Amino acid sequence: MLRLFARLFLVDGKNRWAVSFVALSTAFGLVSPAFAFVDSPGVSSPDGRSFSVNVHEFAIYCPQSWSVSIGFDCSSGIYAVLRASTKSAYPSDDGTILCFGVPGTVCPAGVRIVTGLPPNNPNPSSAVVWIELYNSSQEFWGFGGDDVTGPMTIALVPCPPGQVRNPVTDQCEGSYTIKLENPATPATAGALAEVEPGKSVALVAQVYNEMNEKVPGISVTLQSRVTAYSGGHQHDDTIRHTQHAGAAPATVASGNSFSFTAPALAGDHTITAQCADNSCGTDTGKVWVGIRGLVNIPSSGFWNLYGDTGIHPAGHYLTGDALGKLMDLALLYKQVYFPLNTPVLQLNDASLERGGLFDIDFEGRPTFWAPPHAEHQRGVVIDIQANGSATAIPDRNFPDFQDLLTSLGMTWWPEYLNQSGGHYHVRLLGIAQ
Amino acid sequence: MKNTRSVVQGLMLCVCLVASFAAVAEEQSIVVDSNGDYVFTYEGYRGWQKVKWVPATKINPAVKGIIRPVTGKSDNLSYNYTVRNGKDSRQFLVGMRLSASNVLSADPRKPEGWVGHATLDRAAGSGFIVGWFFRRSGGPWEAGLKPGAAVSGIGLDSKDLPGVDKVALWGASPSGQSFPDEGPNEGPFRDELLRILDNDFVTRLAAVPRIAVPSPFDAAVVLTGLQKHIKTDMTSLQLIDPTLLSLIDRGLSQAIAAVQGGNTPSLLHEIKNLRQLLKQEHAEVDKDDEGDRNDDDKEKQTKPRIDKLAARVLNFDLKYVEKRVKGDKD
Repeated sequence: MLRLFARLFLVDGKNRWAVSFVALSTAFGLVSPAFAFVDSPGVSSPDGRSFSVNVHEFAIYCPQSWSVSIGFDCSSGIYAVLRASTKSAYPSDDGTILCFGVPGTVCPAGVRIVTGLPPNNPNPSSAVVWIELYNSSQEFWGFGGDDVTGPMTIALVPCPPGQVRNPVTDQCEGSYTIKLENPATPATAGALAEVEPGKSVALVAQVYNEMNEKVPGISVTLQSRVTAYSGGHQHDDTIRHTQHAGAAPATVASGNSFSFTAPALAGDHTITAQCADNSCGTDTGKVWVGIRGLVNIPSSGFWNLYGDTGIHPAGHYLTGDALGKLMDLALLYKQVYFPLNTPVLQLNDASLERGGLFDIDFEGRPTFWAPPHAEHQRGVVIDIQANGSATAIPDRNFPDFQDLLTSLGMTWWPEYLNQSGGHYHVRLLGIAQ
Repeated sequence: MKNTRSVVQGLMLCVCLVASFAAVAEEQSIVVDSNGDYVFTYEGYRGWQKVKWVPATKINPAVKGIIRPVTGKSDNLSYNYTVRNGKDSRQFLVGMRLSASNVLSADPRKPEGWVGHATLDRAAGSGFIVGWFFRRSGGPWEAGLKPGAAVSGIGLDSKDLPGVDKVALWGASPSGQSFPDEGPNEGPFRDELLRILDNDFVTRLAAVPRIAVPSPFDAAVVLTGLQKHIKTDMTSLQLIDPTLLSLIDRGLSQAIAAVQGGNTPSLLHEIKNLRQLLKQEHAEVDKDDEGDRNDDDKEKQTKPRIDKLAARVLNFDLKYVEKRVKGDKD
């Protein structure tokens, strides 16, 4: 579970630091400290987990509650600052001073400089930690160094009194429990909640004590993540996760309602709640975002389906009512009004299997996940080919086809008819959704 | 006079549209040119577009309806419509659509050259949509019912009694008009443009199947349906004055109570009073066809408190109930 590895950073910043190291060494007449940073792989921590260090810096990839403990001999009067950055690239100027030795004091061998990664690390799976060295006047001496020696260990920080470490989450937790609840709607099929794209649902993060009594007012941190490739979208990138995911507040008081707002896209979301003071464990809940009740347009002798792609492999979903209207239209068109010498209707995009925004790859668009593919979101709209091809609605039929649509109570939007991609955008129930 | 008012209203609408959208987004606009055609200027995903759209509303139609029992099936009704395209229309009339609570066939009556169909109104969840249109395929799009001409033979059969509703009629706009994209980006401007395109027809009031007649016949159910139709549909269409509505509503409640109490004489008495009330507003309420709406108003010093078509429809429905009650008693 714990993954540690080291990497050598070869960036301009490092070169500048190296120059400074030489200059300062000369100015202050410092000699190399009698200890050296461990520069060999495979150092084991007391609990048996291992990591390696390479030259000056090392990167740690581990759960955020893990701590780093560094022991070294400070007898020369050089002390160390351990900095950590939430950024994955070096150098970084947001390094946080996690432990600071006392100037002029002699650190006993084996002193532990203990730190944990920032609790609100936005990228908890990745961090950079490095060592900077200062002299007793707090003047920068250098950082790391091949000539620094001493033991380096990694260990867990003991949990505070009254808390125990959860072996699954590696968190120190109290004896309270937390539960995500949906006060309005009972959970269905294992989901905490269902919500339509673009709409919100009220949820509660409730903390309970050992007696299963509600404990109000404890600050609870919330995190919402969207599952990659969910909701009928067989494509994924960071834009979806950062700009088009469902939203929940960062914190909420236990027992208070909070709102989860679904994005315009269908998909699966996971909400994780945990007590900010670690007095409880965590709970997760699934939120199903989509439109219920859509059905796949079946194969038929009255139409032909086309247009599914690798990124949207199922784009022919409609509501039952809309499918009924489509059947009315296709039957009248092909069987009653144009039984001869006319191809069946060619049906392109309707809605994705769970509805929501149907993003498509138009020319000139920088990204997916956003309009246009106007409407097509609730299973009541379909595109019918009219591009001048042999399979499309022939232009001689346009007048009657349009009158047929209107006489059936449908509304429609003609898009570049008789040109490449041309089609009738048909609102089967007369509703623009 | 009516036409003049329509033109003025249309011009005011144009001004309002331009003004309102100038405020929302200065560059996007909906303009009606001197031919009555729309010019949409908007920003879509392919950039700025200017699209001319010839609407299907350059007609001034009239619809007359006659309702009679279906031959040999006296309980069912035959609805027959004559549609006239006004002389001042600038397009051929090519289509008509109405909503009906019940139809007896998916294949309604239609005149030569026209087609028609009845399908379930799946959006409403009940009832039917009945549509007719003139076949233009293969010929010139400029075809159909020419200005000044009338066509009869449009009709349907139903078991339900008439109410008053808007029917949609549209003219022969050029086929193949299209947009170069999916239209304006999301927002109020797009909503307004869609509202124009989605209502690319004109409406007229007509008698259409609306009041459910259960089998076996139940006068209380019919009168309750009629009462609801008056209080909701006719009121929203502004066809009846509130004072008269109150009187009719009270009379219908008493008639329903009489049915539920098994008091047929009282029921017939209430129906007679209600019909008399309608006759006071429109003397020719018993006339068979719908006629021109409010054409006997000239003889009255005061404005009738109910639209003539609405009065005739109510009178027809009450007379039907009276007949069925008497018939059932017989």
